[in-house]
Amino acid sequence: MWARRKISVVESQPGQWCGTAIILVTVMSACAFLLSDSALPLLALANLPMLIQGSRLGSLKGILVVFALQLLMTSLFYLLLYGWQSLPQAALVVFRLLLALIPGWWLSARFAPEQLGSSLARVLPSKWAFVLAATLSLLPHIQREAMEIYRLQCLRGAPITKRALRNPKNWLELGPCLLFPLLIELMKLSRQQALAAKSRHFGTHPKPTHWQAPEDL
Amino acid sequence: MTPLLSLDSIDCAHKDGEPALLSGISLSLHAGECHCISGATGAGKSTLLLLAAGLGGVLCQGQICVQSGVTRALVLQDPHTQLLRRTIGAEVAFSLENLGIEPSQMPVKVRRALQRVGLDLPFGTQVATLSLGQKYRLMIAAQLVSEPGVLMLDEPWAQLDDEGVRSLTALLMKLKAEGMALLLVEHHADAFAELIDHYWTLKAGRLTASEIATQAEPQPCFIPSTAFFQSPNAEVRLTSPGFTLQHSQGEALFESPALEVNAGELVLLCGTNGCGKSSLLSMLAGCGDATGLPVSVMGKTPELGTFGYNLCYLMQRPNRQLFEMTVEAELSYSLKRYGLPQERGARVMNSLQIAGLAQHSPHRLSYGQQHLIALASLVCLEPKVFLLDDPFAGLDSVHSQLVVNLLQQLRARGCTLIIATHRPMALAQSQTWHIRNQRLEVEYVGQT
Amino acid sequence: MTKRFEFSLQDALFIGLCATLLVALKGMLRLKLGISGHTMLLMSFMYLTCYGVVGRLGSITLCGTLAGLVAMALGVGKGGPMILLKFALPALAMDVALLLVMAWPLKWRFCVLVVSAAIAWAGKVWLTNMLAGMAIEVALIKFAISVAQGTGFGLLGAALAFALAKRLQAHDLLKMNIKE
Repeated sequence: MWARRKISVVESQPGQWCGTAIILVTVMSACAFLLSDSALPLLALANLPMLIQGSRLGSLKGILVVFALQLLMTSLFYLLLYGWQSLPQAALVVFRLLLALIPGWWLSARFAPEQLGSSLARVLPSKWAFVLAATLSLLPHIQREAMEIYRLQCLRGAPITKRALRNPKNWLELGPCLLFPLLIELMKLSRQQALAAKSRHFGTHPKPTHWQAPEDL
Repeated sequence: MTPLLSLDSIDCAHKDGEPALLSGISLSLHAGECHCISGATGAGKSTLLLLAAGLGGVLCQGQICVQSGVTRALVLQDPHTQLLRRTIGAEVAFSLENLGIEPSQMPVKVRRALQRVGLDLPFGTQVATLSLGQKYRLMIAAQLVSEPGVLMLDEPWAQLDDEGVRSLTALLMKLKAEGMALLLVEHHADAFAELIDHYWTLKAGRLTASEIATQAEPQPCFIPSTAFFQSPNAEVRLTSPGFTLQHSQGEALFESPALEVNAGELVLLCGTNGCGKSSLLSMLAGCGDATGLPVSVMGKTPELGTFGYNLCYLMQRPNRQLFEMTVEAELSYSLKRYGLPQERGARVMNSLQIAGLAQHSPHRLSYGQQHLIALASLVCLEPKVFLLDDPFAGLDSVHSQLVVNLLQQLRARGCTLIIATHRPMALAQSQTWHIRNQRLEVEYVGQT
Repeated sequence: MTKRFEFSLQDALFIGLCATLLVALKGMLRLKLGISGHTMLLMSFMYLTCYGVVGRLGSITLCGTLAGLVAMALGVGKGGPMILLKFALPALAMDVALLLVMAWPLKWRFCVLVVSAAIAWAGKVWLTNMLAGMAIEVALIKFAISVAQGTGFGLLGAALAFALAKRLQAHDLLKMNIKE
């Protein structure tokens, strides 16, 4: 049993850089709204490395779709209300929105969820930091449960297969067949996790400390 | 000698006015002793364990005394819902964090706890990559790190395969020799016989002592039924020239030789935890990650929704599928969807002796009853192929025998049954598929 | 946090799991309906269910804040600090509205909460557009469209949450009394 498993080891990651990146991203997103028009090219230049690195780490598609939809809708309204001459103004507004989005998009592409989660948890009270960390680590379990319950119900004849869901009438079946059992599972899970945490002295010390892998010491 | 932990005249009920769940319970645990409590599903064993661990959420009278300076540790059933961190170092250190121990002192304590359970791996090892047996030991390490005097375990047998039980027994023997008091709650006390000093049985809320191990849980009994599959005209339900089953990540689970299963056959699929039993059943049901394999079930390539009511699949923890307001509605649901006669539901309820529960909410019933109802909702479809993943897990002998009776009725009608289990069982099977060393080996039983 | 807003660890974990499920469903379903506002369906359903099960003022705000943090960590919805506001503001609006309609029948309470969430959700869009320098008329039109779409989808989510709440109560799994 021991030899069969491929054990993977997580290298300790410098957490401070992630925290700094969150602050940087917040400031840069705010700058997209607050800077004057003349300073926007400079901000765009600062966003460029993020755009390049982010496109290497993830897909640009999502952000391009948002940009295209925003541009289309905003330009249409400007055209109807103010005429052709207002289109550059519409483009500038959408450009600002894009500059506000790029840093956040880069942040999620650059850092793993658990790194971001642990950085965010540092500013939360200990109970909620634990809740955030525990629920993030349970995400694969929740997804697996959702998928298994979905398959169980499909096999029982629930009209929620991909084909059946083409008919909007069947969408309502998702509530009782999938969401209801899933919520019950979440209730059980929260009870078991709370017990597991309490059995390991959670909440007994007013100032809990934090584990640091020896490499970080 | 003063006991490390003692329970004196404990009376408990879940709600005020409800009948007592535990009545007049008294128990004392001394250093270096191992006590084991057995009892039927829903008898209140886990409730008693939670109370002994100081985590009970029920109304209670009586006295629980813990020797000064002694801490209690509890390992619950499912490791997947108790492991709270991503790496083993952080997992074990969780208790120390909560006790306010300085971070500089943690690595030595964490390393010692990991060594005690024989899990001397790097701190950064991902919990997700450990086997179930290793996860169980990790849970024990996570408790040992706070150096408890009493260790309590809730039904470890059901979670582990035989190898896991052996290594856990060896570990518990070591801890007992070091002076730790152990309290086990276990249906299968015989599996830990070399460890246990005192046996208890919990029945009707009362705890009674016995000098020797209570009789081992009888294995569910199947009556051989060979009429269908040995007939030369038997319908072929499953066939494959052989395949390699892989994880969704591409890692090979096992290689399979050519397979053929006929109507009325019972196949027992055996293998240790994590060897790929559930993945195989999911693939056969058409709901796994592996697709495009040369496998034919009832003449079709497995795909979700292809077989309708002809193929049923009972996954682990089948009570997850319950959602209707009453037991009767739960059984009617699939019958309605597939346009099958409604009276089948009542028939199955009668044969399970649960007709009296027809108007009850399934979520107010015990785990064993929920398990039976989930199974009954599939049995009443009278499928041609029935896949069952560990259908006896967590059930006592009474409920297990009821499950067997239902399956026996199906088999008598020519249904092909494939039952996955992590322990070999004698179920009058026609074939046993063993998964070992990443190979599936077929053993034909009782056939010339 | 005052005692009034203290949640048991079990309730806190349930709130966290609801928040994670909301973000996971949003990521998994990737509703490509071509209409903005569909997030409000999931959001109102999950927030109202969370309120139903926990039965406490403040549970929705906590669920929304945690959903924002989880979404930020997972990079759902383009990630970044803006996503935090997208989830947290409607939740906060729901809790504020709840203070005013606490005694109303649950069905009407849910409706008021959904409308307040839709206004907050659209308000965030309006504020962002104004800060980006959008003309006030265009920003107002977009705000009105967002409120309408958000309310429509939100009411669908609320109807689903109400049906589930009734089912949970029938199984004795709800802390709040629906008829209260």
